Order: sequence, then C-alpha cells, then structure tokens
Amino acid sequence: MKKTAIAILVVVALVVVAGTVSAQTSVVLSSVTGKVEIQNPGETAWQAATAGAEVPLRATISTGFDGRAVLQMGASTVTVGPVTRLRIDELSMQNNVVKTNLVMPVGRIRAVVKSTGGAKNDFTVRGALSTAAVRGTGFDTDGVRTNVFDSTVSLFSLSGIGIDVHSGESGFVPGGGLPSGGSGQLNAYTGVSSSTSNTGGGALQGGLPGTGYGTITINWAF
Amino acid sequence: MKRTILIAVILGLVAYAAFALDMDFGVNLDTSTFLSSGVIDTTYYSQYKAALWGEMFQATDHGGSLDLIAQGSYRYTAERPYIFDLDLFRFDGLFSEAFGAGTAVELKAGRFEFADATRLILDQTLDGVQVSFLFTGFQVRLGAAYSGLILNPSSNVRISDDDFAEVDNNSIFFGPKRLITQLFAGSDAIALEALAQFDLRGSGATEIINTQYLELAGTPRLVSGLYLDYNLTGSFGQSTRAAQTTYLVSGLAGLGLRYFNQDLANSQAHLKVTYATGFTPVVLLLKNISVTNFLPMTPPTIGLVFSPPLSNILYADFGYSFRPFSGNSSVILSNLQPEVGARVFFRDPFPYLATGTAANLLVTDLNPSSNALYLGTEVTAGIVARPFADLGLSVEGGAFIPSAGGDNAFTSDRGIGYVLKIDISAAL
Repeated sequence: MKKTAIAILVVVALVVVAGTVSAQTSVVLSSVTGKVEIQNPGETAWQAATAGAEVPLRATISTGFDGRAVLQMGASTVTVGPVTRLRIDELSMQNNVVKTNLVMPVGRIRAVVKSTGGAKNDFTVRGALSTAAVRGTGFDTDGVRTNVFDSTVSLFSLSGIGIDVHSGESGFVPGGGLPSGGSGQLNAYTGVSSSTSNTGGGALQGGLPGTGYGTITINWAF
Repeated sequence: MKRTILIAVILGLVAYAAFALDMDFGVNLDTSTFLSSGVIDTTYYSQYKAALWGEMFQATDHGGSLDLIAQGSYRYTAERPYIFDLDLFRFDGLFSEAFGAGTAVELKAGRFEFADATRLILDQTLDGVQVSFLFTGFQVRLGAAYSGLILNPSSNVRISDDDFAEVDNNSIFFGPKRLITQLFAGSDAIALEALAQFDLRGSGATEIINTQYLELAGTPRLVSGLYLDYNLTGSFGQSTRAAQTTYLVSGLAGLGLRYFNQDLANSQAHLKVTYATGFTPVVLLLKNISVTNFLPMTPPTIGLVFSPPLSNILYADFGYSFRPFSGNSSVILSNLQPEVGARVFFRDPFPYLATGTAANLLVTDLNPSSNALYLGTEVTAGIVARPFADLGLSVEGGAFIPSAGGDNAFTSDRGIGYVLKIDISAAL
C-alpha cells in the first residue's frame, strides 16, 4: 500500500514537472539574401549565415545594407530587414505558452506570430526605445514606430507606460517620451506635413534614445 | 567686465556639465501667402517668418528626459513689419517611474502651447506651468498660465469686446491679460477636462468676462481604421458691465467620424458636425442667467474662406486626403498629398425655434431681416508636398458660395469669395 502511494506520488510529480519544464524550441534561418552574419554566444567573431542553419539562443544576427533574413521560430516567422541587429534571448515552451524574447538595438523586423496545438504566445521585442508585447499575430517595428497589421500589440515605453496598438494602427515611442497611438498617430503617419518646424515636440526627442544603443533608426520599406 | 564674462562662461559650463547634454539648433524659414477675391470672413494675412531655435536634451534613466528648448523669431507682415518674438521657451522634464513602474510625471514650465482636447476652446502659446501624472491608459494633467506677456499680434486670446477692439491696435504691446487654468483627466478615448479663464483687466475695462468650461471629449476606436470623434462642452460665465453682472450659459458639441486606411493610398477622411450656441433671449430660472453665444478663449479658424465665430453656428465639415504615390520609392512622389474638403454652415436653429427670430452672427453682409438658417457652403482643394525633409509646401484654394439675395441669410451684396493660400516651410 505504501509503495503504491509512493509510486502514484512519483508519477504525479513527474507529470507536473513535465508540464512546467521549459521546452526549448529551435530557430532556423529559412532564408538569407545579401550580407547576413551570425555571432554565436560567447564568441566575438562573426560568421556568414546560410539558409537552413539553426540559430542558437543568445546569438545575434546582423544584416548589411543589402541583407535580409527570415527566421522560422516554430510556427512564427520573423523577417529581419537591412541594417538590423537582432538577438534571440529566449525561445521556450512553458505551460503551453511559447515564450519569445527578442532584442533589437537597431533596425527593423516584421513578425508574424502564430502558434500550433492551441499554445499561447508570449512574444516580445525590446527595441532601443520601446518594448512591443504581442497578443496577436502581425506587426513590424523598428523600436520607435510599430505598425500592427493583425490583432493587437501592447507597446511599452522604457518607463513601462503602455498603450494597445490595434490592427491598422501605428504606435510611436519617441526618445525620452511616452507611447502614442490611435487616431493621432494614424493622422501623423498617413498624412504629409508641410511644416519643417522641429519645435512642436522637441527636435531631439525623436532621435536620441536614453539607452546605450545606437541612435540611428532607418525606416526601411519592405 | 572680464569677471562677468568669466562667471557667464563658468555658469555655461556648469549647465552643460549638469545636463551632459545633447544639443541641437537650427533655423526655420516660413512664408504664408494669402490671396483672396470677393468677400471673405477670415483673418489670414501674408507673413514671412525666420526663426532660430535651440535645444538641449538629456535622456535619464528608464526613458525619462530633461529637455530645454527655445525659439525666437522675426516675423514680417504688411501691417506690422517688425515683430521680434519669443515663440517658445520651455523646460520639459519627464520623470519616469515616479510612482513605480509604469508611471511617470511630466513637468513643463515656461512659454509653450496650451490647448484643450478639441483645440476649439483653447489653442495658444502661453507662459505657465503644466504637471502631468502619466499612467498606462490614462493621464491627469494640471496647468496654469498667464497670457499677458504674449505679444498682441501673437495672442489669440479674444473673449471680451475690449479684447477684440485691441486686435489691430499697434499701440497695445501685449495681448489680453488672463489667468487660465486647466485640469484634464482621461485618455484618447474619453477625457474630462475643466478649463477656466479669469479676466485680469481690472476696473478700467468696459467689460470683465470670466468663463469656465467643462468638456467631455475623445476619439475612441470603433473598428479598424474608424474612430468616433465627439466633444461636449458646457460653459458658464460672468460678464460684468458697469457693476451689473450677467451670468452666461452656453455650449459646444461635436459628433463625427474619422477614417484612416494605410492600405488605400494612406487615405484619411473625416465628417464632423459641430454646434455652438447662439444668443437665445430666454432667462433661465433665476434673473440674469442667459443662454448666449459660446465664447471660446481663443476663437478658432473653422473655414478657409468663410470662418465665422464659433458661436451661433451649426456646421458640417468633410475632408478627404490621400497619398497616391505613397508606395513609390521616390520621396518627392511619395510625399504628395492631395486633399479636398467641404463645409456647410447654418445658424443655430434654437433661437429661431424659441423666439421666431434667428440670432445675429458677426459676419459680413448678413441680411438683418432674414431668419434663414442656411448660410452657405465652402469647398476647398489643395495639395501638400514634402519633397525633402527640410522643405515643405502647401497650396490650398477654396470658394464660399453664400446663400444670398431675397430672404436668404446674406444680402445680394455678398458674392462668392475665393481664397488661395500658399505655405512654404524650409529648415536650414
């Protein structure tokens, strides 16, 4: 009787542990064009990336002016634009949640976040000025401006103040500023201003982030 | 003298070191040319402006910042050839995580822009202080400002008869003296705002008017790309003439839609109906309380050719713009934005319904014997271009077709008015 009870407890414990343990999933470079390099964790040298290669966690991907890479992360796809540095800090499955943490000091990515088997996604991209947390599926970001083309992205400034950016909207986080979105940002983003005055919101606020990251943001259309 | 220079240099270095700042400066040249034909009711005039600005910026921890910005300008107009002005002198401190993660406090002080949520009641550079408490999803903002140090040609604070009488008076150096207070709480979707202005003209004034406003406004998202645009304002005021005080009740309301579609050539469209009360000769409950003309603190420009006061008016405003080449690799083509618009104007119907007589409106050639509510329609078309980051152009033309002659709102003297407005802006 005692042995049976112990066996049951062991089985239950194993089931619980199996349910909570992190299951690391893989990142694969499914497409590479132009100059794309990888810096593996703990190394200083950069290696040319090739399509089909697996990207280890905490590796950094760097693209040149003509570079572009597509990363397959489980069911999700991240397209890395030119002149971008992207580090994969975390990609794991825990309690039926796929947790993805990307760090992008500079550049632009476009993400289509999907899940399989009913798993939920906890997908965040930390840029120089903002963090985009994805509840939905599709967006692109350069760390300053985030365009959402499907569902909703929660966009946070470095101070942790957040807004929800919905499908069809753009969110904007200036340097030393707070996130904005909604109709005001759409008005600014879709329209053309004839005024060249910089003094409305502070000339420097759009370009000087309060971190150690680079300050050049290039908006690529892709 | 040497000692003074040395002290100034030391102070400058200390300030520089304290900020460890990023600095930037520049020059902006702006011209606005206004051509008109026929009768118009706008106050535009051609002007040429050269502005020198400088900014010091320091990023602090957790996304906070310290920002000091100033702009001085020289402005030429035919009426006033020499206007040297301090357009902006603002310290802006953003203190992150002031009350923990996800919070911030923003302090602004100096000369900067104050505006209400609609910009229809208050939209003016003033000298004052503003403190904002910022949280995820909403903010609370407190502000107080003084308008009496803004140059008269730069001030649009016009409420009383005395204020309007001084508009073109070159002997008046500063604009009307008012203390203006502001309390805002809410978000983009819904915000409650309380505004008040206190007339500081003193006993020498013909009329002293204090006004208070309570405003509910927002632009909540309805569906993807479609936003509701609403505002509702109740105003209470006190007008004192020769020791006789009248209490003023007035209102402003607006309801409309805004639509944006980035995939459809960056299209923007809006339709909004705005209503501002006119004088209705009824006395409410207590003696000396009158429903009257809505009195904004800074009268807005609501049309290009026909821009009546924002009182005793009901108007629908439609606009559409798009960028036909927005996907083009050429920046010049991509940043072309044609736009069209139309506005249909009526007088406030309530005075007519209440008394059988339409209320008066301060516009040119109004037919005094007419009770017609329809005033006319304005149509506009234009194009905005930004061929380079440092050069912007805007050309907008419009015509106002008045309802004139016979029993219509305007006399037959009022013909169609035309306006062409050309703005050029360059940064050096």
